[in-house]
Amino acid sequence: MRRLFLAALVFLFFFPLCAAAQECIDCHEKYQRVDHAKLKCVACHSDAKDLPHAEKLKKPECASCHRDAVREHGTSVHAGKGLTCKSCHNVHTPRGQTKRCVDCHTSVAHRKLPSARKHLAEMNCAGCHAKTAQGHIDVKVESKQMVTRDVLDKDGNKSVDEKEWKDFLAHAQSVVGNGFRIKRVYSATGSAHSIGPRAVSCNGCHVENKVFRKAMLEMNTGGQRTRIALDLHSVIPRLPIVDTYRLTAHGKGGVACSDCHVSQKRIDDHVCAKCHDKVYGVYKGTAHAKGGATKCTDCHDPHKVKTYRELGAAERVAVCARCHGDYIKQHRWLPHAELHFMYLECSTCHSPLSKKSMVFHINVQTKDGKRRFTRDDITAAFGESKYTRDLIDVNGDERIAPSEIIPFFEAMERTTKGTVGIEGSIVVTDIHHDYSQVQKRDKVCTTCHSNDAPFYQSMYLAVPEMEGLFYMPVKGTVLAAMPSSIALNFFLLGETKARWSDITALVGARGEVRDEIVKELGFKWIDILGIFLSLAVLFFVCIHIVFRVVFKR
Amino acid sequence: MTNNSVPLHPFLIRIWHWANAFLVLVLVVTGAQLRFTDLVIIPDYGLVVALHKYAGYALTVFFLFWIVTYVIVGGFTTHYIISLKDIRSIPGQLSYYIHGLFQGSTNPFVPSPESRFNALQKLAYSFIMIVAMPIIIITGIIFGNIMDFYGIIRSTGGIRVLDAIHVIVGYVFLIYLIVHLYMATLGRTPFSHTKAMFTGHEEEFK
Repeated sequence: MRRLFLAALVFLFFFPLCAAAQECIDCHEKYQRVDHAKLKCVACHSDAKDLPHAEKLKKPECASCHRDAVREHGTSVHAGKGLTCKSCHNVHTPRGQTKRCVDCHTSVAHRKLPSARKHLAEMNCAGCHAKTAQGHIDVKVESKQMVTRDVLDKDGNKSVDEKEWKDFLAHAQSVVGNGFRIKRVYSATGSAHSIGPRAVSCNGCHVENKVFRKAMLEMNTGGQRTRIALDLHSVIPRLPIVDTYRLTAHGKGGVACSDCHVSQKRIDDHVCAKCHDKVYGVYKGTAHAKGGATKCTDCHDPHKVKTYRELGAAERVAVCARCHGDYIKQHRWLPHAELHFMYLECSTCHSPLSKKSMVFHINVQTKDGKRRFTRDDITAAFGESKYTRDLIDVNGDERIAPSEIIPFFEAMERTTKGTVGIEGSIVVTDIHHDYSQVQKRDKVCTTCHSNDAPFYQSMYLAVPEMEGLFYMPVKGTVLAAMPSSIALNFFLLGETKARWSDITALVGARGEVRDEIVKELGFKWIDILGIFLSLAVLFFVCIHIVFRVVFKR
Repeated sequence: MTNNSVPLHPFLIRIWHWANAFLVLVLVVTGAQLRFTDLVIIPDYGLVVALHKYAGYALTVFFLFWIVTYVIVGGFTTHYIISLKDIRSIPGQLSYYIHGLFQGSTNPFVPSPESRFNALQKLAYSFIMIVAMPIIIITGIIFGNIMDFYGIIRSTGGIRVLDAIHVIVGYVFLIYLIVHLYMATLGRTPFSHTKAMFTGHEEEFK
């Protein structure tokens, strides 16, 4: 009954329009073929309902039906240029005569778009230029050889991540005969009404997931079909974050993208050698470079914000480990190999011509976790005008003594509301790019665990300055004097032992200098007192022996 | 073996003592080289590290062996726990070592299978075995497996604190060793105590 009532209402509503249609055509013959969703003229020209209508009719409101499209268009770059609906759509026959992008943009070269042909073949205009662009990627793998889900999704998290996909591709390449056919289909589009002033940036896809939201992998192998989610960046190569490029050493130095990226090909060593010719001159003759085995960019990522100098030992080891992943296995002979590699970089032993130093980085441990001490911490506490090095080196002798560093740390703990400590590592401070001198890997522990270790003569505190990290020389005794809470993460077997020179310095000193030495001895007091007591006991034993001999007992 | 000797040291204790003595010697020598890396006793530093580590593990095993032995042979309380009577005997015992010994006095303490150690020995041995040994063993095991105990190490002040404790107790052992080796010569003859530690029988003073 209710449906019947509604049908009657609709009929009564449209009846006058239908009746008016023929009347419109009687005058406006050229609109005989109007085809706008089968609507009659008065649906849009509502003020023409009563005939004869006024000579000047109101403009039809597209938004009354196409509200979303009109709203999107209103914020688009096209609206800003004064384009209206009618600029692209023939409102009386919208299906047949809607303009395409290329009708206006006849000579879009996309000259700045890397891999332009590939991008343009895979994506339509709105896929990049629409603000509402969205897409997905379908990857199809076909082969006669069966590939089970476990082979792909090794960690069983129901998704194939970048590494798993890379492993699979390596496997696929190694298969001879039952070859794999891999097809990638990128589908991205968006509303043509929402064309923005700029296309989505490279980062939009190659760093973030602004356009492509998901990727599905369909395996048709060995007669079996499976579908599994695929990490987007398995099929969209990651690019360095362009926004942060200006923070990198190259970015700060004014090196433009196009200075290095002269083609779409991978950066060649010769591109680096244009500026770094001296280093490359050393490197090109070494085992690493021979036959192009390792390129500059294999170890140095020029898009990294952190310079090599700012990397801690463990981070530097990670660079080598990209190729030498079995380094722990290769160092089984080394006691506490894992522990060593937290504080040593590979170059410490494998680049004998490099200069090694003991470098202390400052860390702040707060309730949010541990982080590296930054210039911002200094600015927050002391303002922008002061150099960090001047704040620590109070006596201005350009060398940090324990009596200077401890008050500085205490002051920083008050302002950062965290625990400030140092993290030491033995790293190369002046690199020589020759890693070929294998005979230097002599596996002698005393190279480091000895008073003669070269880095004892070259100790630095890495202090953050506005221009970057500054390596400030540290007095050799600073480590022994450092309270354990500050040097929690660093210990070198033998570094807290006393030396004869410590004793002579202590005995020879007077007044304030002696007080300073007493403090600087720190953990070395254990040895001094231990040896003194042992000798004292031995002395009493000798006296006892003498008495026994004298009294013949 | 003379007729006037008393059975003093049970067989298992003697086994433990000499194994312990050997291991402590190895640990002191290797420990000294680890601490003073310029002091070259054994040229291969890697071997020094390995020797110190595994001698330490062996020492741990023999420490457990010592505990088990006392559970089997009994008498731990009477041998190691100091009594009021022992405390009263300390001045006399000290006087003997410092003064009486040179005048030909007899040792105020006569060891017997029921009570082998005088008050000063009890103090020294119980401190070494109940306090120092567990500390050096625990810190040593942590040192041998730093990565496994990294959380504990960090929460207790870092490796330097661990090292400090281990080395302090190491010096305690060294000082104890000097005294122990010397005191071992204070028997009826300079080697009678040592001999007793092999045979198990201590010759009585005439």
